[in-house]
Amino acid sequence: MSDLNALAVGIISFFLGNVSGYFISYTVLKSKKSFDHYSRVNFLIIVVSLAWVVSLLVDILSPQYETSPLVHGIMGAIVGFFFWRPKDK
Amino acid sequence: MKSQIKTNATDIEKLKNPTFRQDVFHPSRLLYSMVGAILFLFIGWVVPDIYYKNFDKREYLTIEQPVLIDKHTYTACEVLTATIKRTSYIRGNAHAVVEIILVNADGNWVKNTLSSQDFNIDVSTGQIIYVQFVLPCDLADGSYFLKAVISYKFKDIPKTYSWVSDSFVISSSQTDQNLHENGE
Repeated sequence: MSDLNALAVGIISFFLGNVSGYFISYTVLKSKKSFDHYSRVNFLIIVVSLAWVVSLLVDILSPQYETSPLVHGIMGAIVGFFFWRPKDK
Repeated sequence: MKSQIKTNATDIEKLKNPTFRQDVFHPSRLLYSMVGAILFLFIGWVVPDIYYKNFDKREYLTIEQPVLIDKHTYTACEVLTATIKRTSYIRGNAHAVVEIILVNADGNWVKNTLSSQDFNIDVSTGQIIYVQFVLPCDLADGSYFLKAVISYKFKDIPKTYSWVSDSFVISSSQTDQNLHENGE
């Protein structure tokens, strides 16, 4: 039963992520503001960092959930990779 | 769709640019990635660990108290059945030590270990478990109750939980037992 719950949460999160991503991109395109490379990168860093903080909070609040160290590592690597900027930027 | 194709084309053009390529695949990015991964791993391990070791006061295994027993009066050597209503938020192994405690006339307790056993716990709410205990044959007449201390580990942190049962009487006299069972 808990495996089914985990699967349901995964599917719902996937669809919510897609829908919210669609609306965010739609809003940005509609506003006709230029969304340059580094703005997109900053947005990605914020989203991944927020997801990581949420996983950390769920780790503390739910005794049945434990975030895999691999997930922590991947999220940190993504944020670190995009955090680097060339000196003239 | 057109703008999307244009964006992709621009990105490919950018990748053809050696300066941009150097930026994307700069060795410092690898270093930043590693530092980020180690930092997130460290915080992700330390923060919950500190919380659970120092601040967490939640019970992950609870039992409705007092634990019910099947009769009010027993004779020595008889089998006592305890009805345990258990709620568990975790799964794992646990160890229970059950003691039978005689309450003396002066109010002091005399303890004897009744059983010591390992068991598994699973996530459940209000799970009812019937546990049988054979009462020792050398028990003196008197008023008793059961007390158990359950020890288990949660995220490698040792935890204990204890429960007590309803009190009951050990009586060698059959007449006394009949009177109790008839509620007289």
